[in-house]
Amino acid sequence: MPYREQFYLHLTEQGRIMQSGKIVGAFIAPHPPHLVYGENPPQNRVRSQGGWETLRWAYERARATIKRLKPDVILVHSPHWMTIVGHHFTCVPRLAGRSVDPIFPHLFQYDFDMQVDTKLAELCVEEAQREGLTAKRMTNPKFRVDYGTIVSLHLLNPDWDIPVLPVSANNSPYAFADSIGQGEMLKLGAATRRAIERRGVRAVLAASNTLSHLHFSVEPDPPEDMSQEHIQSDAQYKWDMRIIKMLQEADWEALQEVLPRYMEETFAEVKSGGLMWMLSAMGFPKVRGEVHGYGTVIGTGNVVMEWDLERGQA
Amino acid sequence: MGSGKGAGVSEFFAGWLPGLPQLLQGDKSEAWKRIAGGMETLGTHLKEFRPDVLVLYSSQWLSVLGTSFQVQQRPKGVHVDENWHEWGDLEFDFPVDAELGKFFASALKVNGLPSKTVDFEGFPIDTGTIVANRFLNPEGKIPLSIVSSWVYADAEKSRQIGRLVREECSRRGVRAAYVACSLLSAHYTPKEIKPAEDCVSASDDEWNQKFLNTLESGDLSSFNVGEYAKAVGADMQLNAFHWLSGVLEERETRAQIHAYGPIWGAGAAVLEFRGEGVGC
Repeated sequence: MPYREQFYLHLTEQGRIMQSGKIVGAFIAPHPPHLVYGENPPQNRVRSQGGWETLRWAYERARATIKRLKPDVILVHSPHWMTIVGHHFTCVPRLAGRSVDPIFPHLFQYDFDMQVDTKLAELCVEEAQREGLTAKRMTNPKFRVDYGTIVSLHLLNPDWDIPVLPVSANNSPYAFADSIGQGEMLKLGAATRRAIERRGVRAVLAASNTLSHLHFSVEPDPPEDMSQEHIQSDAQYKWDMRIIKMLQEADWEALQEVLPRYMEETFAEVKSGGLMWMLSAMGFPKVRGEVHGYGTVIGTGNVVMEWDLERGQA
Repeated sequence: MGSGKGAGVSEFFAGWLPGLPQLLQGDKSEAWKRIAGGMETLGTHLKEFRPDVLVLYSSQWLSVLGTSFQVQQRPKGVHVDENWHEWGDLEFDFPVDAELGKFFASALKVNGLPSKTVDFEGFPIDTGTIVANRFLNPEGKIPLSIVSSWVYADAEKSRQIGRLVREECSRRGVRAAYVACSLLSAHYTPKEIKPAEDCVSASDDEWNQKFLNTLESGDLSSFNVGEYAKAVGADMQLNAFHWLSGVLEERETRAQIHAYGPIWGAGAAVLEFRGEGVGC
């Protein structure tokens, strides 16, 4: 089925009345390790002199919303847990260890310790398979959680006192046409929503991705030298602003129309599927997205953005 | 150097192999077993070559800020593959020639190429490196120098990096074996399969066979590597091959094919390049 038709099908099918569980909020939660590095939390072994405050302040506002929403679980879809065979859901009750970023190891060496909602993981796998997707449980307790997952979760909830559910990014958007890759994410979102309803929990979703993703390949010394931080190109900035406006106004039709070109021209990380997964799970709500802040990290465009589904329709 | 001459005394050793966890699951598939057998042969020949160091380029170690070189003295730990996590833990413990890695990084910088050294406890060693090392260096006695796959390197830059690495070894009198860990075609089967039924698509297979025949003949002049890489969705744009081409520059080489077959739909080959030549 063409991508556009799949999109509208999901737009209408997701208006169903949910059962007991529900998605109470959702965030675009970008994961540059620089933001954790700049914050200097005790879990990260590396120290900085700060930096990237505008994005970190944005996350402070997101944290306040999380505290207010009191979710039972935070689900995060990370492009840095890329899987080849299907969509994977973490299904180990507790995962702990050190995660060193393979790209920026000098910035991120984080001791993580997370509680996972494994029952929700089981249900997500079941529902994803009902959608015709290949889906798997990740049950290996020695699994090293990727930095994308950890950064987004830390920045949303540094107390780590809410169970989580890391979800992999299947590589179909990169291996196949957009219609196939993003189509899989629409189905995954629908499956995730049904699983949350069946589980009966209040869930927050996090799409762990930047917007535009072209960046500089030379790092300043020190990395937190903010005099060197700016968007990689004006064209990239303009694209980001255009997309953010659509997200703010819940203009989903316009978004899906331009998304393929946006992904191609700015190398946007939303291509990895997290955004479409999240919007699909929420049922493409007519709820205004709230921008907490926008900023760049080595030239990439990042927005921290929230949809509060408890606040009602826009 | 042609087929069948691998076991003699040689001044030069280079190889190519895949690095996926399937290769440690030979009982599940004849094809995987055959490829693993080829890797064992490559490992035996490598041991006979008695290198000072194994310089290993891994297409699964991606870097963004230029090429990275592992300089942690002895990486040790357990890695779980991101995709095939149900097949158990990949333990690793091997020595690294840290000084050589630092020299490589400096050589690249001097020549205008960005580079970094990596020396961090808990750094995630990639599946490719671990699996390749299991076959090439089962006793863990040969020091490694691991080279990342810089995602922004094109064919020419990858060749330049290979050439600089080889020149640095020559300059320092290091007897190095150079191995690239990469797939050929990288169109994975995106669903669960019965391992015994694993296969490469007919189109990719035809391309892979042409490429291998060309390498076996030693004459790449009439083969369009770029077209091949695009057609088969080659692993990291076949940058591992370009890197190896830089290493092999100035040599008359022909590949000895130890094995070829599918790994979850992707095309995998085990190749050996040996011969007399300059340097090393």
